[in-house]
Amino acid sequence: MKQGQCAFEEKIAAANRLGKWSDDLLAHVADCRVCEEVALVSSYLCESSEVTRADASLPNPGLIWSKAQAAAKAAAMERALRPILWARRCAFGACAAAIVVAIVLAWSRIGEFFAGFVASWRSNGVSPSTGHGNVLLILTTVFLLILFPLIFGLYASWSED
Amino acid sequence: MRSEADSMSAAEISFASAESGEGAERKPASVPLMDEGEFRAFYEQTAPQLRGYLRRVTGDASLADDLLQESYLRMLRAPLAPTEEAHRKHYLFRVATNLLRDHFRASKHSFVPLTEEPQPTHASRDFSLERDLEKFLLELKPRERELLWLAYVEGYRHEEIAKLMSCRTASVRPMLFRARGRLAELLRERGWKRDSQGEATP
Repeated sequence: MKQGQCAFEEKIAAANRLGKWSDDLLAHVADCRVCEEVALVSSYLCESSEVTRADASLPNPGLIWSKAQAAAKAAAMERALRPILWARRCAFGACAAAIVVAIVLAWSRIGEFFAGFVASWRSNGVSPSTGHGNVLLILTTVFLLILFPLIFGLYASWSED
Repeated sequence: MRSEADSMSAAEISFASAESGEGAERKPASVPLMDEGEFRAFYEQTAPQLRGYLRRVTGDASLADDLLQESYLRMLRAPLAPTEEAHRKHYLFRVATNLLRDHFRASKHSFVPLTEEPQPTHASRDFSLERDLEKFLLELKPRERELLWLAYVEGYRHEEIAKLMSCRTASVRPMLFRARGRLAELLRERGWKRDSQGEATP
């Protein structure tokens, strides 16, 4: 047995907890410095425990149970809504991808249109719509580049709330 | 504390899984851990012990109550919590110990004991005695308080304490030896000794 250890330590602690001291143990405690320390500390702690346990004002278990039930319902709800949430995310992703593809495919046309628009506006102030005859293209471009991402972003943020 | 709480649940699950070899019967996640009656019975049986542990380690009655409630909530919500009575209690103490660790980490109180004055209770023989009982323990580090309480009040073996406190079994004995020595020294300094019935008295 190493210094500071005694084979009776656990028996002494158990005797303190249960309040059952045999004569042998009492005699041992009187002779053993380690066990005397164990007995002092464990009896102090057990006394401390008794005082705490005597205080009967425990939190209401009904409240804890209700909170747990509410948390379980919330978790079940979240699980049930998860496929919908994923479907919505996929739809948003597909929309965003479609917009990006549309912009990439029409990029040369958009570039040409704006180049012509700027050139004609600089040279003689001619309306681009008359020069290119494509109001629809302007509206589509504005919608795709500004309004749609804006509406999409607002919907995405508000729908989470 | 909340952020640690989420990471802790994984630790709890691994703890529960680690015990599966000991014959603990488990229910799938969809089946409730226990019904309300069972829970109330379990609560009445274990809450005073757990409350005492939390109360003496934190030194704060209201914080102890908060942690107590949180411990039971975690246990009820855990998908792999044990279903056997003894395992449940063990599991509960582990949850509480983790919550204590989270609390002391978050509030950086690890080495500064809380100094809330204990309120007198009906059962306390003497208010100054109760204050002393709390005061000495609060002079130790939180981990030392946990260790001493688990070993000498709850009667856990070193292996069980190692599991509860997430440390090596071999480390428990020297840590316990040091903590016990410090507390004994404090008690002796203030004139505490054992009487003929084995009780510690000032």
